[in-house]
Amino acid sequence: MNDGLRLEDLVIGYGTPLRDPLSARVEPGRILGVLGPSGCGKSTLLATIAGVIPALGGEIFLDGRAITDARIDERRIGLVFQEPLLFDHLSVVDNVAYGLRRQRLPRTQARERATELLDWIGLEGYGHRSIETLSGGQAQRVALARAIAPGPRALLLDEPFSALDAPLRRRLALETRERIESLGIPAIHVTHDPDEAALLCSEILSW
Amino acid sequence: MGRDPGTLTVPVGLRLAWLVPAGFLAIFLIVPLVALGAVVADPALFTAFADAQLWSVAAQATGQALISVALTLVIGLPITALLYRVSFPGRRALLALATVPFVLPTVVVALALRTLLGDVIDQGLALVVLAHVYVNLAVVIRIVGARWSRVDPRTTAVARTLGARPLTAFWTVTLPALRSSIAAAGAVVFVFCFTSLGIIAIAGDGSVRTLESVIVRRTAVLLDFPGAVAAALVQLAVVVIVLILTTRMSSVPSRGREVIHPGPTRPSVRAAVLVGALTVTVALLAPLLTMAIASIRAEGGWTLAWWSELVAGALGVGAPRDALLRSIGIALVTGVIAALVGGLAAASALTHRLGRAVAGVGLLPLGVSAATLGLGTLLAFGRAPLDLRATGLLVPIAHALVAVPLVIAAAAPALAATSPHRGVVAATLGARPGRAWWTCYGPVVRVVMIAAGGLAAAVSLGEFGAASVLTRADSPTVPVLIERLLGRPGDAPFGVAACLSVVLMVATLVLVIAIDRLGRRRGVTP
Repeated sequence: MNDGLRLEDLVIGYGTPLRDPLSARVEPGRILGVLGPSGCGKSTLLATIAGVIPALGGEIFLDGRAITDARIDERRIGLVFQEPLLFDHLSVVDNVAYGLRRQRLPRTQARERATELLDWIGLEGYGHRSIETLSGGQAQRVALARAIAPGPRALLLDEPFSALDAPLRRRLALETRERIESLGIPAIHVTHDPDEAALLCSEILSW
Repeated sequence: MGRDPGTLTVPVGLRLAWLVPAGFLAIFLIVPLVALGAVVADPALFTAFADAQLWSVAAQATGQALISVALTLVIGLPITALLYRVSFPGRRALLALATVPFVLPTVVVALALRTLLGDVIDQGLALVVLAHVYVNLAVVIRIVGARWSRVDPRTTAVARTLGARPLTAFWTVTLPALRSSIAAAGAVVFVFCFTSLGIIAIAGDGSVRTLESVIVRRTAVLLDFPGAVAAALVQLAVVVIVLILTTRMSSVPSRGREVIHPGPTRPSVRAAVLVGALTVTVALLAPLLTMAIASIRAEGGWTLAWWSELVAGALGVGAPRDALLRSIGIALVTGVIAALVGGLAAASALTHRLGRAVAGVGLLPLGVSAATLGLGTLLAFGRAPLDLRATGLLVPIAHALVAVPLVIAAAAPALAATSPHRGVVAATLGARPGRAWWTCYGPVVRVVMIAAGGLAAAVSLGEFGAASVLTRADSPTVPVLIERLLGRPGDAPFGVAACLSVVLMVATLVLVIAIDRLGRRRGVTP
């Protein structure tokens, strides 16, 4: 049972606080959009929630459990950046299977599950391709599939569509929204683009 | 229409400039290589190849080089991570310090480590390997660091969010991204250790040998030229095989921009980083400081006696002052020859197809060891009918051959990166071809020639292999004299060797720092 993502007086920053403490709640299946200009701390917020950098204060709750001090690999929070950041020494299917392999799933089973996910995102037959052969939109879909594959309890999106052209950005935003709703997990999407935020997000928080 | 704007302003004189490096390389590189090749027809060469000792040394050198590579990587990779992945006060200074051992003469480094660790580790394989690690850390740090700094740290963060523990993320994501640079660094270190000479001579105990030391011994002591050529050919074959294999593995270019992590935020990590940085600093500085202290220490306490000996002494193996003046003279001549030949070869590569070929030939000595070059020079010009040994030119010529590839490698990219359009503009304003060309390339050429000359002089000051083969008994260079002094009993020879090492150390560092500053100010990286 997913109880959503809750931030209580969360203080973010690299050593010194970047802004006032933040409190927010994201219900399962909903997407909170954090809208603000470059450099306002949006990415730092996601890095803090994911556990890449420590919180300077406050608490983060996921499914009702405090995860503020949990290790990054134990939080089960998916993270997708503006660039796909695919592992370029792995094939498409092995990129998607990466998180499943970390859960000690045998390679064959992990690849089967990853292939199903690739079908789901419309990339049937792409599994054994090198990631260099993918277009920008395809690579971003693979990044999304990779984040979803190990069954995260929340998803964080750091302007994942901003490098794409407008029609593709719109299509992927709608697809992503559908998938997050169907997975029933909370998500936070940070962006500087109000149109993208309106398209993708259930609620919007302006920074 | 369609003409390269660069060809519009090339003066006639420069179009023929390739003749200078071509002539020099034809006489002093190709003729010695032909002289080496002539020995191939000698039946004694086959006997030399059948010598089991040759293959035993080759196997020993391979083993020693592999151990050195492994240890350099094991120690070098964490230091690379520290220097390229984390920001901390003094990071840039430590990066510069880590490069110092690499630019110092190998005999100086070997003597410094022998002085520092002599009470703990006897001369032999262990000390040789440690000296190789100390010198070559810079290779790993620079080559792997250049790649590592361009691996987006968010890639590792993504792996962590997918459930990878820190070590797993490193093993499955970071290491594959670094694989080609590690292979490249490993190959360079292997070649340096496999062809090592100065460190073998000073830190070894006689039982540790390389094919390079065999070449020197068979040339300078045994006068067994076929035996020396056989060793040179085996060494060349191994080096070429290693470089070809690595080139295939290292074809992935570095991409992306340089990303250095912000400083660690957790106090425990911050403390660990600072302790690590301090440890590396002490480990890098200790041998150099020990050397400086050894030059003013005697059994009874502090002394300047060794420095007095350096100025006035003879010590039975040649006067240190004369060796110092000789080395400085050779370095100056080497600097002029290498800057002229290498600089003109690099400039010719811009303007002429034959110039590009000449520049390519000028890079050949990179694959041939210094002792092999010295041996070829000796075979061609060190005996009748053309004996140039008495002229004192053989050593600077051999040193110039060692330095020319470095000069071309530094000068060619700087010249190629200079836009020819400024010359075209100058021509449209009425400048004659020579003036227009100089307006465009002059400022770069000036810096490149000075920096290249300095670089070649620094190489010459510490060069040991070719000098061991070519110097006469009564006219050693400083590195050769240091080796001879260490073979003498008593405190004085060691003290004077320490003084000479300090002089070489300071002179090399002053040259390298000056070149670096000059290059940075003019946007050229020699």
